[in-house]
Amino acid sequence: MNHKELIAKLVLRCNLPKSEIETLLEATTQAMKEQLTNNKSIGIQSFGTFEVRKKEERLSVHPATQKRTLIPPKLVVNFKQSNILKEKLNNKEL
Amino acid sequence: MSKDKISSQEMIDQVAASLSVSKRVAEEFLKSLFAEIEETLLNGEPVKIKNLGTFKMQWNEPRKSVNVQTGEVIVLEGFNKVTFTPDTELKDAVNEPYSHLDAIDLDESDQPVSKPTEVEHVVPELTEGLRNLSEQASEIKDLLSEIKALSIKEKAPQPSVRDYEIPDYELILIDEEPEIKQITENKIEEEEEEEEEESDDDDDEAIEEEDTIEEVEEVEDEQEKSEEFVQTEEIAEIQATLVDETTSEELIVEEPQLVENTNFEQTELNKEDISELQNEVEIHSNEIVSQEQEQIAEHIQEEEIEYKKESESEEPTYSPVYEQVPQTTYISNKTELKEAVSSPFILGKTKKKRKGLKFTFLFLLFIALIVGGIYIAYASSSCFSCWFKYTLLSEENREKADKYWIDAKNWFDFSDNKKNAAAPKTKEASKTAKNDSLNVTKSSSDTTTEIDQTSNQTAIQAPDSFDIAFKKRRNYNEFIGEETISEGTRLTTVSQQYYGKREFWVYIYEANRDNIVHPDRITPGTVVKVPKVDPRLIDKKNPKCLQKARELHDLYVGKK
Repeated sequence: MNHKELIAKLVLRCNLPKSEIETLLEATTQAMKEQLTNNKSIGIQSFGTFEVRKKEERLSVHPATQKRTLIPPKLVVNFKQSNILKEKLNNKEL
Repeated sequence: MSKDKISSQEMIDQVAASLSVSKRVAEEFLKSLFAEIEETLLNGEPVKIKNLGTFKMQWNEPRKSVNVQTGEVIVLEGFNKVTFTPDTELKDAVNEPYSHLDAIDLDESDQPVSKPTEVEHVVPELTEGLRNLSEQASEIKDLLSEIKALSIKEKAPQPSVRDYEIPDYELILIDEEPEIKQITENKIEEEEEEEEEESDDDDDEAIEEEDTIEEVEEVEDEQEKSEEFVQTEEIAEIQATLVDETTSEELIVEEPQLVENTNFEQTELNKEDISELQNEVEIHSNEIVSQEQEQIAEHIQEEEIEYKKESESEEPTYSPVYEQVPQTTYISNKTELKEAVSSPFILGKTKKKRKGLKFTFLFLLFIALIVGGIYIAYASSSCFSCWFKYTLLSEENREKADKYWIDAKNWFDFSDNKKNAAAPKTKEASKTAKNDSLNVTKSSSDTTTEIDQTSNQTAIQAPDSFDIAFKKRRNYNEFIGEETISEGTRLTTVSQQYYGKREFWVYIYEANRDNIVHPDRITPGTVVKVPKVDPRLIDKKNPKCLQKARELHDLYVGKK
């Protein structure tokens, strides 16, 4: 499901015009991005949490060439699903 | 890392504030958004949100683990997991503080870590180079010692020769010779030094070597001249050889011109010329002696061959080594001459004259041949063998060579014949043995022997044709049928159906290799073409066919 499809579905779900949904979605993503860049994690109830994690610098050795490279530290977004979602997903399987 | 956690409520507030919409709308929207994502994820579909990222459901396989406390092996059940891959935009935005950092290649910056390995690589090379140099030095030393030994030998017989000489020229000999020796030795030492410094000054070396070549040649000239003086006063017999030497001198006079051309190979060739010329001189001296003393001649011939071998074998090694070869041969020549002289040397004058004439004639012939040879060698340095023939294999030598050649041939032929003779014998023996056995059977009963014979013949013929058929590359162009593989059918069953034997499925597999990945895993529905195989290969009654088929079976199934 891509962006457009999601919007179309949300239009049906919220009984709101498509344009509004679009702006809302954009605002949401913008807000999330802002929060994450401010190094804050976002917890969405019954869905999961978005958080920023720092990956420490590390040495990587190329297996073939034995070339050693120092990978600098970086910040990555990590999502962890909530237990409710997890259970839902697995119950569906069962 | 989670310093501040924003709850969903706070999110709703933010969204509402940014868009100046009621919180209720924002809450409804967000809830519906995540509900929608959840739903689509539950359907197994990924959700992609622009500027944010992709949500995906991932199945984690069940895995084994160990209870840390009890050491029990427990199986963690597989589960679904939602993964989120941030969009590049989000990723970059989040990674802003560290975005200026780049991956660093440590092999470039951290020299001390990588250096030791480099040094280890370099050291063996250096030592190898030194080893080579030391080896060369030892070789040169050996050669020097050889030369010295020869020169000592030379000195020993000289007094006896000088007894016959006119005293005036003794002075020249005594004065000149040691000097020459010293010079030559110095030269050789210089060469050695040069060799040791080889790696440092290659360019200089080439020039220096050329210089030394010229110098050595000059020395040789001097030596020869001195010898000439001695020999002219000696006996008329040696006149012929003397003339020979003058020719060699002439050749040597030609050499510097060639050296000026700085063509190293050609100078080498000329060096060879000299050495072989001197060998020829030896031959002449031998011939003189041979009429008087056959024994000595034989002895010298042996020496000659040795020297030739030496000169030929040492040709490709290295030029300095090579330069020394002519000298050694020269010395040997001298000694031989002296032997010839010390032996009963006074002959009838008429004989001498005849021989003189003969040798002048021969010598002229030689000159013609040598000049021709040099010309050819000079014109086309590649035509080495031609030149070799012209110079070395001149008439008499050719005869000799032919003789040796014939001898060698005979010898080889003989050995071959021996082998051939041995082989037929064994064959005959086996034949006779067979006949014997047949006779024995015949004596028992005639009919059975006939049957035996026929069966034997067929037995011999069949494997041959089979082997040929088997070794021949099997091409499957003709097909006798097609079979669609369904669940349960195997190639063996098809083989049984068409060829009457399960083992011959390998040929069907060979013909359908494009369609079948592995004979044990044929997807149902694949159409298998049954090829027309050489009937000799699928002979049910022939155990060899079955054996070969089984070998192929092992090969394809991968048992080995």
